[in-house]
Amino acid sequence: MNRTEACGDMLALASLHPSGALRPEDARRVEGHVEVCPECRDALALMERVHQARPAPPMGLRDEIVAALVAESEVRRTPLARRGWSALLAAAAVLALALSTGLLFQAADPFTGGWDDLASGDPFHEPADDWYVAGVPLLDGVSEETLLALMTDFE
Amino acid sequence: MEEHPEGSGPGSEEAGLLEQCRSGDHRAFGRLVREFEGPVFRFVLSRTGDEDRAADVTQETFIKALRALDGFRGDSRVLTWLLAIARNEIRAGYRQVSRRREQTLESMADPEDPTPGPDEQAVQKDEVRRVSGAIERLPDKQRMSVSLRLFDGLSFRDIAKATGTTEGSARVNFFHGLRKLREWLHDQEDNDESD
Repeated sequence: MNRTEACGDMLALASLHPSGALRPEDARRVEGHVEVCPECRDALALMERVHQARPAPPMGLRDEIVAALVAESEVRRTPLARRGWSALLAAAAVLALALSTGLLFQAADPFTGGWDDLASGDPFHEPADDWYVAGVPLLDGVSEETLLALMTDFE
Repeated sequence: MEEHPEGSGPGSEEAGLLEQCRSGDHRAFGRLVREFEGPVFRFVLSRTGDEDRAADVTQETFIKALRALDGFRGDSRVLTWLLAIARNEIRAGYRQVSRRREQTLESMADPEDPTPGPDEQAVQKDEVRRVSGAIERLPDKQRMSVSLRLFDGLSFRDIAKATGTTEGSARVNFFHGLRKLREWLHDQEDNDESD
């Protein structure tokens, strides 16, 4: 037997033994070889040792993933038409709320008094979201005087 | 010598499992996660070294896989496909408010015997700490080849796909890494004996 070649191939095969990924007939070949080859026996022992130290996923992760998959699956299985109606109903509810609080009218003309309140230092004034683009307040239509007051406040 | 029995695509069992997942079978989700959670988690952990992030990326990988299930053509094994998704998630710099798990590497080890006595537990922890420390010292590609091969029995072909290298390099990285582990662990044992 060409010992070097046989051991090289056998070690590649043996490296699948610890995880149980070998076919039964290959597992038997590896076990037969290490019976007569001390070097490969030591190598297999090391590989088994490394396998024993494999990290396990955190407790509870499996349940979390399955729950997330079930939730995702439910969303996917909800008929589009039903999802459409749900979205429409949600939009209608928001619209009704906006109308009832007068928010819609304020948003249509956001600067009526708003910046003056802000410039006057009213700490409780919170402008509507429509006044912002990417988190930065819109300054169109703000008078020079108001801008100057704002800049002074920032300084 | 043929070193691994799997073909290039999913076996009939895996294909059946995916089909059940496609149809929304919740028990199939459980089987899919039980089968592949460990290998995906260990793969991400070997690349990031961060347990919380590995858990987050593992979860996101399964969700992405479910969303992409209809597009999976079945030209690779399921694990190879999942690892490719995980790899993309890592690259995308997936961030999420991490769950803070009070776990150390030793407590995460996957023991063969789930109920050892206190003395045996201490010996096991010491052994896991020693071997894990040596694995962590390996260069990235050697560490990934060693862990994917010895922890989860991936073929060199699948390791190459998962790590973005060639099959030959995956094999060379594995054996270089294994040789270093042997040297380092022997050195540690020699030092312990001389102390």
